[in-house]
Amino acid sequence: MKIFLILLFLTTIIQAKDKDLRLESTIYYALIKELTHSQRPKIYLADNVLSIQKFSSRFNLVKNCENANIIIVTHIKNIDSECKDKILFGTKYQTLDNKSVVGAFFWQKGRPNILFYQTRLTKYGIQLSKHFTKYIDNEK
Amino acid sequence: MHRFLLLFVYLLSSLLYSQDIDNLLRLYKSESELSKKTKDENAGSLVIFTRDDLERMQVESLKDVLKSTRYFRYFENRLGDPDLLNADPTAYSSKSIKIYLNNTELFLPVLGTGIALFGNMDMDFIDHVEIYEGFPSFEYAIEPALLIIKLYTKTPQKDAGSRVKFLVANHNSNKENVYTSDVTDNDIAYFIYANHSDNIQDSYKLSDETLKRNSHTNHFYASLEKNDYKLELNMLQKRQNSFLGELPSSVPKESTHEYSYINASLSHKFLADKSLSFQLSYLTNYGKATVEYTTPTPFTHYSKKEQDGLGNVLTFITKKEFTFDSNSLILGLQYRHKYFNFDNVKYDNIKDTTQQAYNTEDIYSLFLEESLFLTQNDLIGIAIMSQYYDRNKNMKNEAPLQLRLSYIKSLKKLTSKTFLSRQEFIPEPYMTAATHVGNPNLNPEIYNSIIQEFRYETQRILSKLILSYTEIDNFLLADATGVIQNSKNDTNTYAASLELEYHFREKDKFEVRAETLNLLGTSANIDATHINYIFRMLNSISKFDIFNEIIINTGYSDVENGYDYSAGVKYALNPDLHLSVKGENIFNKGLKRKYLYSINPTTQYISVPVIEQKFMLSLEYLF
Repeated sequence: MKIFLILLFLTTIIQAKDKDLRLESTIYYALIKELTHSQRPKIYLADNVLSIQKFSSRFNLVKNCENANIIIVTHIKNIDSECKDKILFGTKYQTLDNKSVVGAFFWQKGRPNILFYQTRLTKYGIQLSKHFTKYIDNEK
Repeated sequence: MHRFLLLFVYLLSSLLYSQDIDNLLRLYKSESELSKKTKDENAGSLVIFTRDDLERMQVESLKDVLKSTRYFRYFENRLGDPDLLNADPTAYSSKSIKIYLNNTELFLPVLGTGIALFGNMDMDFIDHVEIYEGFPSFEYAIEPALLIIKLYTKTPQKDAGSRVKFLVANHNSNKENVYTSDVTDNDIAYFIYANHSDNIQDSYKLSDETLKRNSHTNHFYASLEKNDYKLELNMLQKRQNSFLGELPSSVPKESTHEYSYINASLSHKFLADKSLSFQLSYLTNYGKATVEYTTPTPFTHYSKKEQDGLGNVLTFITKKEFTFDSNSLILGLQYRHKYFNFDNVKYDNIKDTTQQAYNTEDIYSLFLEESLFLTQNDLIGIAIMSQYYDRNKNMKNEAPLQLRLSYIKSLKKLTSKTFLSRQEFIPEPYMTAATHVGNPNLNPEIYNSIIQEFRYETQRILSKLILSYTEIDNFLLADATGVIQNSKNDTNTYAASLELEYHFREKDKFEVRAETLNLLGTSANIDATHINYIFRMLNSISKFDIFNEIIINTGYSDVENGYDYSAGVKYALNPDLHLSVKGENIFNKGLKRKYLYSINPTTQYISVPVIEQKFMLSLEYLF
């Protein structure tokens, strides 16, 4: 319920400027929070993610991937080898080609999509709440 | 009891939370509409058809948008080409309406506009449409314009994936297209689109001949982007029946027109703030028109006419924006080289030796546009563009000057926009260089106009009142022999539009507009008072998108009044599969254009619907 109120609050305070980026940041926050079970998750950006960088107050952005709870990635090649065991979350559908990426938030077919793979979540011992069931798929 | 209450609260919060993620995604999709990024309310009086509008309206062709543009209506000339300002029997009249695909102008160098070829083009690769009325910012046009139609393509960043679409309509009309796009691991973004369409319309029996308005089109578009470089390729091939042909005195046995159009452009943005940009664009187009008559035509005395046309255009544009605390300045330089050859004409298989007055035109344009914030809510815009038209052979050169002054006052919900402009339209080659009917002595048309827009916006309501007045000197009109002449007296237009857009429930929208345009000229042919009403409703209920539109038009010269009721339903079988039905001009009561087909011994007209009654069924699949 608390999460709902936070999301509701965040949604209602959205200003006209950069509304899309603010919303994108809000969605990332909801997803990362669900994956890390942390109110202020430590995240490492392997690539630029403008929305998170611009509206970063809810995140604890770390400069070293080893200190992060989760890594947000667009290009897998940008992740240091010592951090490849961290929870990886993608910004593009193609990032899901890498089996270490548990899920992704991306644009495809003209609409924003959220997708998690159950086997990968299980591998990291992540149990998503029922609200996210519709976004979980079984890997082929 | 407490356990039940807790369970109820838990279930409710679960439901709300789940819905909230969905709502956030929906809101995010809506706020990410590309039109919100590209539109420039300060650039002119603007009408936007967002992606959501285009999808829910089931816009298949650009004419679906142009038929309800403020003050302008979709018309075709007697050859079946889109010509919004058509004044039959003048061959073409819409030279001042410009059309852009992203930042590249689509146009035929002979006509000075691309509307004739692209005015009814397929729209399946288009994300949204912006229509700037009046004289918009010089940033948008290399040559002066009354109306600028900007088409923005879908982007690989948002439309990664592929889509196929099939459409069938009455008379076996059909359309098939596919697009695929992605951003690769190397950050190369590409978009590829291909379309084929057959538009079959009613045929008309007249003077023992059968007149047709069918067209067959192949269209290809591709873009490639990396690091602020963008390469675009746009190719169109069209074969159509040219309906009545160009002569107002005879009915043809057969008339066809073939077009091919290829355009490539490269653009780049320099500097960290991307304030310096350039664009290089090249286009080549070829056209072949053939018309045959059963008996030799009166006055011109031939039975068959064949004409080839070739045009090549090179355009270079560079712009630099300087941004200061309370003002910004844009300095732009544009160069365009046009080559056009349309004097390759054969009458009854014998080549006509008459040559066109000139075949190249170099246009140099330099513009300066200053935007100055007097306060946070007051913006003044001053723009000046100096041009030079350099023509070969003995054709006179021209040095027009374009001026624009704007003042925008923004209060919390109310905005006032005032635009004052003076623009000089240099007559296009089809008016000046054409053999037999061209008039190389034409003077530029001069348009002086003022547009005042009041805009009131709340979360649910957008209303506008737009008033405008234009004085036109040297207005161009065809005389009795078909030769274009400058009118000796002023021509004036008064226009007013009152509009309301009301958003209700989650995604429903109701639009109403009443508009009038009063055209007063020295010639009885052009005096007219157009009065139009537009009602449009877009509803989304469950998996259905429903569209209803009524356009009522009155007062056009040589046009029978009418109303066009169009409606459609789109059903999402799942997020990737959509089935749509749509009816256009459902009651067949839309505008009917009168075309002259005989002038001796009496003038006689044939009347045909501008937009025919049409029923369509389409299926699209995303993967």
